[in-house]
Amino acid sequence: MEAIATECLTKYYGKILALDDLNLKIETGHCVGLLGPNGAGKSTTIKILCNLIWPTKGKAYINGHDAIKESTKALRYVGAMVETPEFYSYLTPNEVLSYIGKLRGMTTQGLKLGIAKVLETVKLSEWANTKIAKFSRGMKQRLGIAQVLLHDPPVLILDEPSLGLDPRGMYEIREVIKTVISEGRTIFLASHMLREVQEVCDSIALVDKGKLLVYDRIENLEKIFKATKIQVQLLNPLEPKLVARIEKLQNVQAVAAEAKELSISFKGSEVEQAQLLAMLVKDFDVPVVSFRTSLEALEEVYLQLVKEGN
Amino acid sequence: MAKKEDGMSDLTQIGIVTRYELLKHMRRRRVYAVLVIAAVLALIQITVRWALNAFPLRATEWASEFFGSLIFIIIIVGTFFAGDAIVSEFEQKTGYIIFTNPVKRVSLVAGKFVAALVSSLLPVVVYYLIGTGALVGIYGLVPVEIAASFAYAILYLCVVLGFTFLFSAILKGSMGATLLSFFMFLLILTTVSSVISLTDSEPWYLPNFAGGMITQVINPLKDTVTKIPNSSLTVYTFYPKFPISIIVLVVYFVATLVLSMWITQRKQMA
Repeated sequence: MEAIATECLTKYYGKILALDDLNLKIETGHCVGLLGPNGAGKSTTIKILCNLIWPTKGKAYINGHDAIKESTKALRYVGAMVETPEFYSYLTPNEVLSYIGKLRGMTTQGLKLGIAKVLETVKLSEWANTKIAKFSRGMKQRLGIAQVLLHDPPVLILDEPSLGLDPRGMYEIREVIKTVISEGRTIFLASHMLREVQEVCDSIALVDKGKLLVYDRIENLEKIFKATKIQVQLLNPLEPKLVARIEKLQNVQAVAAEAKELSISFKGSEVEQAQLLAMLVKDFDVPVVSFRTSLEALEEVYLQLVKEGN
Repeated sequence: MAKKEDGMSDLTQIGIVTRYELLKHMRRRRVYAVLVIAAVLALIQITVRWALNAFPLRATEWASEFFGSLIFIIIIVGTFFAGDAIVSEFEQKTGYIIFTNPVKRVSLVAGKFVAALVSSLLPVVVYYLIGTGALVGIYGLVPVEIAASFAYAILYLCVVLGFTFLFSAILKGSMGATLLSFFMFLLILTTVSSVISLTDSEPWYLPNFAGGMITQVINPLKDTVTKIPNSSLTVYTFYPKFPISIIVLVVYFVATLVLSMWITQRKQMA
């Protein structure tokens, strides 16, 4: 059974088509990123799943329960964060989490332990008894993540989870999400941040103008649409002759060198990537500081698909 | 009440919502503000009468006058506590947090209503306590009709809350819902019932007219027809009657509350 499924999901706001016949199936234990430009239908999809709005046509399911007709059953499995969360400003994080936990039927003991744990996870422990009215946007975002995790839901629905966070906060939230994934939970994450999606998700559903353009595993998308881009940081700049030799290597399509950085367009498997790295270090004596797949590949896929969609 | 699979009933959830809504009213200090208003209004009325030494002979006559001001207090506190009850979840976007939990919106509205009723009832109780205390002090007795008046006051408060909840469910702003309800009870309905009375028709079906039972039950007055001398003008004065006023109030209360629940259930949070 899929953790999340949509069937012919369509939503009109007046005459504006926000979601056009969306069919999506997310298997349990997977992390799927919902990617798309502004107005693509990401939030609309998430809001339908969370019973905040209703589709004009089609169905949405969470763990087999109709998200609209059996919303209370469906939402029992879900921890959701929609848009930038706003909390009751007169409450403290302890109180707001108690409120939500109690509504979900958590016991007093479970709540005590759970609240301490999630506040620790999102680094808000020392603010546990401070009124939320005094919180910054980033702190509210962290509290939003805390309320998502509080009841240990098997399905997490997150709308731009690191929006408003500083780089360290973004990193911490991504680490939290990775931990959650390693626990076998399902994550449906809407984001416009390619790096975030590439780092935490195993698959991408790309939407534009309410239409699903593509839905596949990230590595498949990169294979289908473009050669992988590899970013190599160097200790010293390379001589042009050496760059030309690298360009002639098997599976290498192009090489761009700039100061202490090499950008290699590469078409090959992960094993072949490893062989390339070994060759650079051993055979060419290249002083490699770091070697990683670039985000550009995914970015190109994204831009190409959105362009084609238009 | 339906029991959920995980053992949590709707009633339990209503209780939880009520508790946290009460906490909201306490934290915002509105409860204390209206308690002070009610106490000050009551004490002013007693002090002025005492200073002028102008208390009526009958206890029921004074009680009827004294509790007449309560209608104004009920309108203030009712709109005060209910104006933002539903609309604020949409306006301030807190609904994104609360509506994504496995709780029926009907339960949320019910919990909010109970909290608003309890909070609004406090100043009403204070007003009655001061009034009955004054009755004992001045007349040495408390007419039994005061209990019936209190019951009518609760019912009228429910109607005010019901209408305010309805406006809170329909409108997009807390201020709009509060002001509309306030002016509807204070001006619009009062004007409409006066105009209807002028045409020799009893506005028994209007909630503010039925709410007049709060004082009518203490000191019953009969309908009158007064011809203005040297004029063709005739003034008709009607008073609410038992039991039709109870039926009218109950119908308005149930209808507005159910309607506000229905609208909230169907309201989308785009």
